[in-house]
Amino acid sequence: MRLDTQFMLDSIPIILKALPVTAFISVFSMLLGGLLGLLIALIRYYKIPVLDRLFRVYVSLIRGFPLMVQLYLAYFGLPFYINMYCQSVGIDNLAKNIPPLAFAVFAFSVNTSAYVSEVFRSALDSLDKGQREACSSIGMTSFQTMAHILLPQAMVAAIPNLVNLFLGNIKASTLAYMISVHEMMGVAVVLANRAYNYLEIYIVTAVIYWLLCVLLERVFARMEFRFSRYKVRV
Amino acid sequence: MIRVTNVHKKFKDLEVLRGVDLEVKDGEVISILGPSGSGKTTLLRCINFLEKADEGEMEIGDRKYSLKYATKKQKLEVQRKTAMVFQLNNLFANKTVLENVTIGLTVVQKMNKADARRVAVRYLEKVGLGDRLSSYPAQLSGGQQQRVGIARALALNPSVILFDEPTSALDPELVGEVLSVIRQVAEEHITMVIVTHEMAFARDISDKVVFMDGGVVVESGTPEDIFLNPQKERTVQFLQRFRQVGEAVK
Repeated sequence: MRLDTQFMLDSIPIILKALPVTAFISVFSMLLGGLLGLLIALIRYYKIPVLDRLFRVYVSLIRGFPLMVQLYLAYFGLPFYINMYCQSVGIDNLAKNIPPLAFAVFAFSVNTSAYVSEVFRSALDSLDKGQREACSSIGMTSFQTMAHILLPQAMVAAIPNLVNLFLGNIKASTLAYMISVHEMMGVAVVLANRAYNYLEIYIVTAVIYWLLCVLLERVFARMEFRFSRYKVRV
Repeated sequence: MIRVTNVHKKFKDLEVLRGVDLEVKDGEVISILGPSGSGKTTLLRCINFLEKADEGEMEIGDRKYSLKYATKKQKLEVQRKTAMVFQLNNLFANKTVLENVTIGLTVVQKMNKADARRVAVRYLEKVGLGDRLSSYPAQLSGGQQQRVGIARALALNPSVILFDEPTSALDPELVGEVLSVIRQVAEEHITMVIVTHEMAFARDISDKVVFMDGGVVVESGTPEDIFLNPQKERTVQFLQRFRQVGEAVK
């Protein structure tokens, strides 16, 4: 089996040019989804009536069917409703001007939020109740308790799982190519189709994604270490 | 002055408190003794609303509260006037020793950082931990952790400090150091309610001893009354059991 190594090397810079798009999708969907997920987790932790039940259904729903389908629902479904709204209010159809990238980030954020909420909910539940009682005993409000004591410790428990999700997001971003977003996978497929060098391209793509993830793993390992320093006995 | 009257508390079908009254005068040190399950810890936890009593009234100073119907605001008010030292210390794991004490001052009492630090250092030095300010709880022994817990409670200058079996979870060698700190606090006439199994200690430092069993106050009085002259049968039985243990240790 002969690999066209020159072609492989040549393709690297071309694929990497789309790295910012991949990064944008992954990072933003993680941030937005993360924030929403945290909010959902807090609502469920404090068992806020009505919303608790609502979000339990939400989480089950979003985790329950494929991300690709969620992406298509966003890309084909949302413009339809936006159009309906615009027509009823009497303005020009705004959906035309929304780039596919926005739909991708939206769908991925929603998807991420469901998984993140479970990460934070379990992290919070794993904390010992005694510290929460100690906070009450000195007169801290729930907000103060969460902000100063519970959330910082929950973060330490949550980081490995959040890293997991983030790495998953990076891989999931490849789906965006199906709604014509020019992220790395999309570029790679175009290159492969043009020259019929499928194997070379996919090997290169695999290595690029892997190196990206390895780099991030090391960054997050350091973060995890710094956050959990208070647990060290010596 | 703290007074609770007619406290009732049930956990599912188990009636843990069956009408308990307790009064603590300013500067008084009260020990609550009794077998496991007598409701002593539950009583304490009802006072600072860590448990919600089914019935009962409470007076702190000139304010009155219903233990059952207290609003969130009232509960917070009470929690800001009281402090608790827990059996498992419950220190804030992600905060240093100093921060454990200052956080109540800065976040709850809205003190500025410099004042809070000064107050915290003073109390931490008092409990003998002035040299461990930047350590984390995980780096301290059980006795040291408990002393931080005591400093944390003291620094808040509460109307009453509630001690929930403060030495029960400690290794025997560490019990002494914590007891001597508690004794120091008692000598300053800070109002204290101590639930404990340390009989000799309770006898030494208390102004009043309350014996509870089966969810009611069986007997109460000065240490001399209870230890030397118990009136009720149950009290006698309880004290005998401890005397036997004391003999065995000798």
